[in-house]
Amino acid sequence: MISKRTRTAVLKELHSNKLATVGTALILCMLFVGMFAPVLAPHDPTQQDNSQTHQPPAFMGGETETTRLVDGEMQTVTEDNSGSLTHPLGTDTNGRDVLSRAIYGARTSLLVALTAMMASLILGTSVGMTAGYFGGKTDTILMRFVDVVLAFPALLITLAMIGVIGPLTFFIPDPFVTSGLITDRPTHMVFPVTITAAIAAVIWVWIARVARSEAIRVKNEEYVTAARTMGRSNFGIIRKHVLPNSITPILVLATIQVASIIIIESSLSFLGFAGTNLSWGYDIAQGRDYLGTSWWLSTIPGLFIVIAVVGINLFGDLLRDALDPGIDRGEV
Amino acid sequence: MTKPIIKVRNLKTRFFTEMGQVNAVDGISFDINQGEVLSVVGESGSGKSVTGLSLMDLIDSPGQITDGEIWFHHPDLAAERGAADDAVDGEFVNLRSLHQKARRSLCGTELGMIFQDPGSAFHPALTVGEQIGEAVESRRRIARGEDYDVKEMLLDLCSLRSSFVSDESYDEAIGLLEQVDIPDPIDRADEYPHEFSGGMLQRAMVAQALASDPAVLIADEPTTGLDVTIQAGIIDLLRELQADTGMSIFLITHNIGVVSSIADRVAIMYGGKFLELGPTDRVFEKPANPYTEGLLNCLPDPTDATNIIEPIHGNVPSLLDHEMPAGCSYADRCPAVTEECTETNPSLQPTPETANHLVACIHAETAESTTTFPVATTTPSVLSDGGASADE
Repeated sequence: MISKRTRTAVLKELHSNKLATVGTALILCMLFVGMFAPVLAPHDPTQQDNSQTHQPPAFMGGETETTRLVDGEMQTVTEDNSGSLTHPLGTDTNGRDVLSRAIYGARTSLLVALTAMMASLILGTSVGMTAGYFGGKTDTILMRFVDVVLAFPALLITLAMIGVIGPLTFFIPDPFVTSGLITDRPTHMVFPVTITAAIAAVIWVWIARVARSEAIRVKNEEYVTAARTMGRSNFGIIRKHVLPNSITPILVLATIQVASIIIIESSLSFLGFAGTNLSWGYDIAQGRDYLGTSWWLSTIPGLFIVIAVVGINLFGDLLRDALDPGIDRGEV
Repeated sequence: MTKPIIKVRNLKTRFFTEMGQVNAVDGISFDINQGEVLSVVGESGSGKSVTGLSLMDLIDSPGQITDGEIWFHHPDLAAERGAADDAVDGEFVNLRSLHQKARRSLCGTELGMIFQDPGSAFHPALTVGEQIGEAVESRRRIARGEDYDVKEMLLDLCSLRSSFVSDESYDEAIGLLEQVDIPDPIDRADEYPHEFSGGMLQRAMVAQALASDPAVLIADEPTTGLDVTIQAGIIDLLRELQADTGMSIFLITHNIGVVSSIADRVAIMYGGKFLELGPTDRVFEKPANPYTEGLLNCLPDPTDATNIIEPIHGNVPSLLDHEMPAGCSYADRCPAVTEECTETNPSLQPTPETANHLVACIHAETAESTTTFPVATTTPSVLSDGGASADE
């Protein structure tokens, strides 16, 4: 599947491009964190503890002065408010561990992002290839539909779809917990089906457009004509010549789309359409009311989003630079 | 006795562009006989490549074959479809009435094509052996009656280690490379097109076309862009292969030197029409059409420095339907033009001497008879004489 040439090109790019290395490291970290969330999270992300609410992160030290009612009279007291290593990134309003929640949030985000990306990759490539290769009426009908979807903001369509379909979720047993390796963690991963489907329904059109233009470019190459003179069928030609020659820009786009999917997913859960409450967007929304006092509630999941999105974009750039032989590898 | 393998009747290929309708091929009729080399000569833009592409059914939108018939000698298919079928005439099948799929499978088994630029006619990311093997495999699968449709494509995509080309086909591809005189065919088969020189790649292209085991090979300017020695090599190769396999070659070129060394018959094409068609030596010795004469006058003679080349003045006419002149398309460049020429459109007529030497020029008979040979009247006896002598 992946040729030796591709591998060497990617490795070469990794060596020569520092930013790309950082991006790849970030995205690998994120994947690792998402996969091994039950092992890495220090607490059960859903465990509430009302005696431990609004604990600051461990690196926050010192004391705070608060004025409150003590023994029937108002007093200004100095309280020890330093963070503890029990909750390295603090706790939220319900005393849930922020770090654990962010780690589990990575899992949800990546699950949604990768599934939606795969779905839109398959759908977009099929539609784009068909439209581009066969042309004519097929092309017109398919691409006008794509244009209609493109004309609306992605968030609007996803919201409408969620409204129509309703929140469907699918529970996947967590292998770490079911195997008995880890206890005291949620036994199931929540896979928000509606959100994934809704996101895939708006993302595939971008892929379809690129796939179509690539198919048109390749089908006019003389070797495709040559393949026709061999008596190859249309689908045979698509498989052997058109698809392999157009897949690179499609893959690069799909990689970068993962970042947009994460942002859409977070926006949706921020708005309350998460389907699960283990999501970065949901945590940001929860912490929004306490930004003045407990800034970490929103900031930590926000930072995770930034890391994931930047990592994916840098990785996408790496793929583009490595796979496109026409790109200028000069200094920027 | 020569038997035709392809009979083209009144073929019209048009391109419907924003500029208007382009009559790239404007009602031509000809036969390709079994085992002969028929060459089409003409300037760029005269419609010769489009003729070749039309034969292979490679005309894409906005182009379209609007009229005419292409009868292909294929007794099996004709028998299979039955004599009652409109697309069947004796042992001939009209390619234009066939369904696209049937048409396409004929391409891989009966018709082969060589392209002008082998550099772009090979997929840059696949080895040459793989691509020739693809043609072999394709022919085999068509022969076995296998389809390659959506289902096969999906299965193919899902299996990680899938290769369209079987080992036997790959071995046959190596054999084909050997047949076209490529040294170290086993090593060469594993190389990519960019590792081949132009001449080698053209040979590989010939091998790819041979993989279909074609009855008719359409060669679209196979020697353009190659240097003279390599051109000679390719022409030799084509001639050898033609002698070995007995296939017919439809050779499209603008190189008259190539034509005279290989072609049995030659057609002079201009403005989407044939202006002259006949046995090569006959046409070049006694050109009946002023255009053929003009083309021959453009040939430099390396042995005679005093021989002045006379270019044909002007340009190839626009093939746009609304800009085409009413009469002969060559009229505005023709040295022998008369008023009559711009009014009547000449059609291919046999010359008085030989029946299979056809010319489309209203002045042909008179011009020829006054200058080159004594007056001959078009009588049936002369015609049949000429026909008989041409068949010998």
